[in-house]
Amino acid sequence: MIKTNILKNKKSVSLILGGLLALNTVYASDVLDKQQSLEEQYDAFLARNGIELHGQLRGEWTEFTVDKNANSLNKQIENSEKTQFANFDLDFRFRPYEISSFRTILRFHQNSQTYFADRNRPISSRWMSMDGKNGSWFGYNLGDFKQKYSPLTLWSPETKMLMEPKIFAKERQQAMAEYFLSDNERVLQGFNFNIAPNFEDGTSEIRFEGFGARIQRPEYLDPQGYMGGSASPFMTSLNDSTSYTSSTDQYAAGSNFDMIFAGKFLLGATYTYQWDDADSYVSSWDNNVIAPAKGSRIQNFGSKLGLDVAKIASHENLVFDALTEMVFSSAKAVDLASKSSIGSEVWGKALLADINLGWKTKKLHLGINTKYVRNEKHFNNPLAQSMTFLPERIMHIDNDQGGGELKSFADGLYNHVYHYTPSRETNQAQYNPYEKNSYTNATGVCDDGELLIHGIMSCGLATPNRTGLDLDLLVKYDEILEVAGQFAAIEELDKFEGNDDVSIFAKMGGGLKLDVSSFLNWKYPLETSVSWVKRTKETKINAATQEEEATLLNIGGYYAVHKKFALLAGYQKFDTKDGSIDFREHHFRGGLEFSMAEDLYLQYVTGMVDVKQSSGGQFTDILNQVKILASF
Amino acid sequence: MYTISNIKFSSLLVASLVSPIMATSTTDKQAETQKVLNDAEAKNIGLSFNGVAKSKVESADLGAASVGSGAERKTQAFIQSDITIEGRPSQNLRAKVEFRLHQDWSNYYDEGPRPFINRWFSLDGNVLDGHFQLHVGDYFYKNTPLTGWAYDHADFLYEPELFAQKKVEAKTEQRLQGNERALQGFSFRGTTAEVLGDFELAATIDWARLRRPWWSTGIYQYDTYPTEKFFYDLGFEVHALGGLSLKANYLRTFDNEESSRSYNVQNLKGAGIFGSSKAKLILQEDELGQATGKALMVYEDNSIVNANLAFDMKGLNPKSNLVLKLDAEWAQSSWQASYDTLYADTLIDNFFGIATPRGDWIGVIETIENETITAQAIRASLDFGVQNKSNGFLINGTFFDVEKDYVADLAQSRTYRKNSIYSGEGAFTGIFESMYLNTFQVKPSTEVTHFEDNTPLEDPAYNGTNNYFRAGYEATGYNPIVSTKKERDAQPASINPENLFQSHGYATSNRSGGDGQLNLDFANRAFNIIGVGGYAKEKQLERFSRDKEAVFMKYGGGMKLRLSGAALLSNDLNFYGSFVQQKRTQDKGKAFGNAIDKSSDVSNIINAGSEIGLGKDLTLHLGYQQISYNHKNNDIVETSLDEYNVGGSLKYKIDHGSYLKLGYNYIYGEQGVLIGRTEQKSVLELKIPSAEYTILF
Repeated sequence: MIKTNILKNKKSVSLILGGLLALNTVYASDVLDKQQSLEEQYDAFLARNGIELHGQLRGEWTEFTVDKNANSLNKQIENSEKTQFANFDLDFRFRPYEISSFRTILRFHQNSQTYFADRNRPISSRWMSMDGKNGSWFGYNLGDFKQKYSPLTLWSPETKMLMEPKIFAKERQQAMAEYFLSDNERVLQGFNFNIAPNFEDGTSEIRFEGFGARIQRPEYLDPQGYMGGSASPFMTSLNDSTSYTSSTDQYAAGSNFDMIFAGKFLLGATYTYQWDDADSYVSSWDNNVIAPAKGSRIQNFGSKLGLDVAKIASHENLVFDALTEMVFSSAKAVDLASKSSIGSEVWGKALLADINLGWKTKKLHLGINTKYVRNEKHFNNPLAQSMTFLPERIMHIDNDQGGGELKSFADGLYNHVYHYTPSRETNQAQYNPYEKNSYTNATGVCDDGELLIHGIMSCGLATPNRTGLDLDLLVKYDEILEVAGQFAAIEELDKFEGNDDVSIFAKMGGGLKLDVSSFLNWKYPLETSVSWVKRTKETKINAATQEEEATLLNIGGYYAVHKKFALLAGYQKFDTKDGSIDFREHHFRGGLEFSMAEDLYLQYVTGMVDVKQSSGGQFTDILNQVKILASF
Repeated sequence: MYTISNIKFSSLLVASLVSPIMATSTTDKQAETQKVLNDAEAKNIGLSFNGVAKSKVESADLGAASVGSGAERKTQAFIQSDITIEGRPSQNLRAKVEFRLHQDWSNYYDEGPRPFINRWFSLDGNVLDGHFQLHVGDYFYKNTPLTGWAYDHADFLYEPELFAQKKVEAKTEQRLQGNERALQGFSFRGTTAEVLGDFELAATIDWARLRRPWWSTGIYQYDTYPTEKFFYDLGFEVHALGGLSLKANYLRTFDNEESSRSYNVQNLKGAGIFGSSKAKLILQEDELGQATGKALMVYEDNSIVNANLAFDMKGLNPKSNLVLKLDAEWAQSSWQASYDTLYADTLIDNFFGIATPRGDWIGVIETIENETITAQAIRASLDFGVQNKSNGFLINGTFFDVEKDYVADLAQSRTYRKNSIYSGEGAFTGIFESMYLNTFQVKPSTEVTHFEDNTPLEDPAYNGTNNYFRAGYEATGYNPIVSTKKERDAQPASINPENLFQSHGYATSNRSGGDGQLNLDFANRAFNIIGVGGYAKEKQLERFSRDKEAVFMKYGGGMKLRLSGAALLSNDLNFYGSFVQQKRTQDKGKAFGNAIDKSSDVSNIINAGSEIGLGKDLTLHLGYQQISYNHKNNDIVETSLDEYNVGGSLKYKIDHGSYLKLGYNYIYGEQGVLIGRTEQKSVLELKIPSAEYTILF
């Protein structure tokens, strides 16, 4: 870093003394060194091109209170949990030259309940990157970056919900944004570049992209978190060929090459490699815990072919395009201590054919999206398969001590706490952030997940050991009416050990969204939506059939009563049936929003979660929340 | 969105900078340019942000013999930014804070909240029309080489720029720049400035707290020192005729005895001396370490009176081609050690005439003061030469005479020691590895290291906290800590092949002699030749391991070809190299009581480097270094060392202050130790590729 002598201060004399006291004076070197120092200072001046400041201020007062008569409640412990904070994300962009700039997002956070005990409030940096681009053909990132190539190669599978009520969707977006998750982009740290010259007025393009990221390093990282990989309590590898450890450095690198011809044809190839660096293996962590010795090396070779029939036919209203992707994975388990391979190389194959057929006019859109997948059991690509939603207990973990008596789907999906201060039992993180959030951007492994939330393809379109069809229907008229249908018939390609046959999955559902104000010629929108989706899983084991069912009902409403005031409401019903165990959850929220702009609002929300389990646990959780958010 | 733009400011600066560069005299134009830069900076009133962002991947592959039980490859990969925020209510006042954001790529996922690290905080001012300057908080301090000076432990002749830059980076991490020492406290200076014409009087006060009396960070071994330690420097200066300066200073580093009392009592209680009904313990100075483990209950008080006379012809006639500089100083140090004596009794209760020990105890502490030891030191340096635009010569000669008991904590404290940065327990600790490499990580670990000793870092220890507590974890060869005489004596400076001549700079005690340098520039400064030499002798015998004073010598030289200047090339084209031999010989010495006739230490140091401009913005840097050392007794090699450091880097300047650098460094060394009649060898091997991208803002 270049240092400047700031102020005309005491150096008037000190400079002379400094010169006099210099030892072993080398005249020529002095002059040149000084010249170099001046040039560096001069460069430093020119480098100060400016600063951009953006940010977001959030204040929240939230209280969840469990009915005191609930049989799931530990009555010795407080039945409510409060989250009260003010936090401020400051987004700096230093020196926004086009070719080189630095960006950091800093978070200032203060919990109301720890205000007096917490005089030293840590500031954290949530994002750091060096970014730049040269014209429209070259761009790069160093540090934090987000990237996606395709669903089978580099992708972040996200939980989707058909016509999720606005009041819930906003909460989920905020929880995901804590980890910068959106738009299926995988969040990594390392380097990323994109070279994409285009031709023929931008309709043809050659795109070459690449990235490199470090996933883990050999130290004791997070004993209860995701980095433990196979040691993690809630993850069991579906693709049983590898194990994930943090006893080594783990890296990932990849590149993607696409050629787009006249906007009609696409030909592409992708390669990714994720490996444990056995040379960096340590047999125990800093806390003397023995580290696992099983590592992996995973390669993926992908190719894709796409065509846009509608464009070839030059038909304005027809929608007809198809993209087929085939990826081969090669996974090798490695004994990190001896650096020798364990067993043989395991190959897996995945195929995705995605066809869009429809008719689109200025106001009407009819569409059918058909996806065919055929992913082998040994198809292995954590960069596309790692789940981003791992349901965690958020509220009331003190009361049931994490035992799960007060768990609910709504809690894991829509609540998050950045800085939690446990009220008893633990003393950790009183001063330091202790997060509770079900969303993660970790590159880990994938498992079956929750049928109700993750669906029948728990790890996205790259879920291993699945084959079948997934169909989405859509009828949309202007912004007034939207009708959707979902059907899927998927089954395992290989039965799991111990099962009599492969498991069979099915999905069926539909939804309707209507803006009533359009019929009534009201000035402000009145949107309503309803959707229902049922998922089933059938497994044959010990000559018996086990059935699992999950049904989700969503009903939502949004009514702007004034330019700045709106009423929001949402209802969800979660039903699951796993053999003889039934779980039923009702989730309702309603509120009033005073909004100055899209990201500038004050909101009051009340609601409740009511859970009944056939195994005995029952409770009702009441929500009261005031929230303010301002972005600039 | 709120935007602060300095574009106008920068544009103005461009215009003002161009003209000084066109000035006739190189030094004049540099001075003018510096003034323009300083003035422009001072006029930047308000709130300003600047800093540097860096992303780096550096991987060290350890040769088989260098691994031990650890990893064979160690990689640091991070993005980091040092951001400086300055608030300037006026041109004369400034508050400055510098903080670091650091993110290791590897622990990204489990480490959502990434902590800040504050690296600098200061309030600076130049008020009362330039008559009063102040620095409060962090500030840089230096006085003279004999009194307050962070000496360059290994100032290699023609050190390859490739490596020199790495050294600067490693030292800057520890707030070491030039010969200045970073302190925390305050620094005031009052001056008559221009009131008396060419005659100027000035008074200075510097104060700093050096330590505090408890286990503060756990990073440094001597942080367990149980007392507060302070430093102050009172100075008076007279400047006349533009080039003549006379300075007098009184410096003192001392322990606050009161601050250690409770600690001492706790330690003594734990030492189990209160078992008897009446116990009395007099703590002997030399027994303290054994009695209480790491605790040192010796209080040291080091004061120095110093006078410094300096003259520079340039001050009288700035345009003269003649270079004539004189810099002479005298210093007298006083050092006193005191130690605690504690008398302790158990309390006796008297129940119906029967004496019953209660089990409690009382203690009385008395401080015993040793005799004050005084010693003197002298240093005089003369620079003479002639220089013009295309040629020049300069001779420098320095005489020094430092008595054995001379103590100057702020000048003698080592800022460098050998440390393993990447290599494992299987390798010896290399000089080049320690000198040029450093790592900064944020980990839930704590390291323990020694700062006056050439021992490697101990294994990092898990700090026992939850994972969200992550502290800066550094592996480096440098430190800014001020040590004391007893600490330096406890870890006597081992023979350092990189600097046999003066292990603690010019303030090295028990040395008398001189050194010098001849510097020639000719052929439009395309050729630069330097010759160095020095001779010194111990002034008194060391304690029991010697019976005759040791003699120290150094000589060597080097040459630099700056072809870009001679050939009027627009790109750099420099080649340079040097060879320096240093020797320490002692006839009729004793090695641990076994009489020997002759003992010698010889180190040969080779440096060679080159900068080759491959284009307007692309430069290739190359460097080679070698240190060969042996220690002989009666012509039998008992210890030998050969270390090589080879490196290259390709640096591409993207725009102002941002560059991409790809580098490779290979370090290899062999160390031999004679055990019995067999030489035991150990090997150090590191292959270090690196990539770095830096942006200034």
